[in-house]
Amino acid sequence: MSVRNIPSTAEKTETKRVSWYDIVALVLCLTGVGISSYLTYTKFFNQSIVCVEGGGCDIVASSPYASFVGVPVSLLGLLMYLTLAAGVIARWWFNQTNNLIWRGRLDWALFISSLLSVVFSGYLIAMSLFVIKATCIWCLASATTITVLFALFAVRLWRSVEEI
Amino acid sequence: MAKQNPPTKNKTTITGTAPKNSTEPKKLTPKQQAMKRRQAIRRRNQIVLVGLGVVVTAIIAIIAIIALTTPNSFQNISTAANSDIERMTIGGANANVTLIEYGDFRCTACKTYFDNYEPAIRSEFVTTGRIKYVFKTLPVIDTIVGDSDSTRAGEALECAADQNRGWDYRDAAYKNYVGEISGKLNDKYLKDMASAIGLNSSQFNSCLDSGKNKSKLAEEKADAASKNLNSTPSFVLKYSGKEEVVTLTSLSELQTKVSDAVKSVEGAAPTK
Repeated sequence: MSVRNIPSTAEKTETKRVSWYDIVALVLCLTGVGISSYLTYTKFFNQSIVCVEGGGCDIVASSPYASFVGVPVSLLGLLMYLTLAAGVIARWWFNQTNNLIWRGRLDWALFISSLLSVVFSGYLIAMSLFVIKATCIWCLASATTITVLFALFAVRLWRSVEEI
Repeated sequence: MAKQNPPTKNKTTITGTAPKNSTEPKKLTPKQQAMKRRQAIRRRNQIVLVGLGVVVTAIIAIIAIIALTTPNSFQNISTAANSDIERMTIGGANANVTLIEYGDFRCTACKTYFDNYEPAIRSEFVTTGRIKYVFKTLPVIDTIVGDSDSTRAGEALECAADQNRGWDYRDAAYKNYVGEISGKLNDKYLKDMASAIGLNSSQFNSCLDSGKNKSKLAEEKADAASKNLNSTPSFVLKYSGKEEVVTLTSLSELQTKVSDAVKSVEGAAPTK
């Protein structure tokens, strides 16, 4: 009886589907990785940023606000998106292996780190709009990406309460 | 199989956890359900509180980091180098009259003098090369406020003088006067100002950090004490082999005193 109730790993893996949360989150993380990689590349190789007509991508990217404590914010963004992507994959893995404790911890970690990123992103957008007075479509895209990611992680953490 | 819809009854789930919307409600007593609800509310409150805590902490951290790392901005600064002719000296290299100012970067009267009286003296006697004008630090505001910011600023000034740009640094300090008690005249400000006027930052910063000019400041203080100077700005005129403390009832008198000294040396009435 008890043997029947304890599933083998193979069975578990078979039964757990990848949720759409994971797929969407991973796609968004990779989108963020793409955006921030491009901006990091242009920063380190002094390339002009492809921008919409009338946009101020280069103005924003060359402003003092494009670095934080001496580190380009695009590089910080890249590291954050890579961390979040790793977190999403790890969370998926812990879900597959039924490690609910670590899955819960990762829900919290993803929630907190994405929230931190949203606040930082908000600061950067505020600086670009009100101080630099120029907009950068890539920065707005990244800000939107991280905001949607945060919403996903928040909803998932919120809903995980129902599984108590 | 079990993969599709949740089992109807006796089977436990394959994952070992109770599926949602299955037989769970039937198993829980009303008391248990109420407890579960309370637990859920508690956990959601926790999420909201942690979220708010993270937001507030992040905002405070960002503001603090920005405040600590953003360079100060300075007004009316020119990076064009006007080298001192000698250490902390401007004017005529061969002038026979030397005007020594004892000042403090935080003193209000020094700022008043800098804005309102010094320009005339500089245009009439300094740029024409008729006097040498020397600046020395007398950190009187330290005694009043009870800190050492003025002394530190004096050390910074000496570091600028090490690069022959003491007067440029002194002028930048007065143009960007910070007041007596603002607390703004800290090491970061002093270093940012050095960078703003185009000094070699690494040389300046290591000079200030090492405190190598502390002894020079002590010498200047002792020099001022030996002349019984205890307020700023104070002035001393050196000419014809004598050195006299200029006694002023008003800063406007300084120009006349300097003019008299120059006149006595040159043997003819200069101007005014």
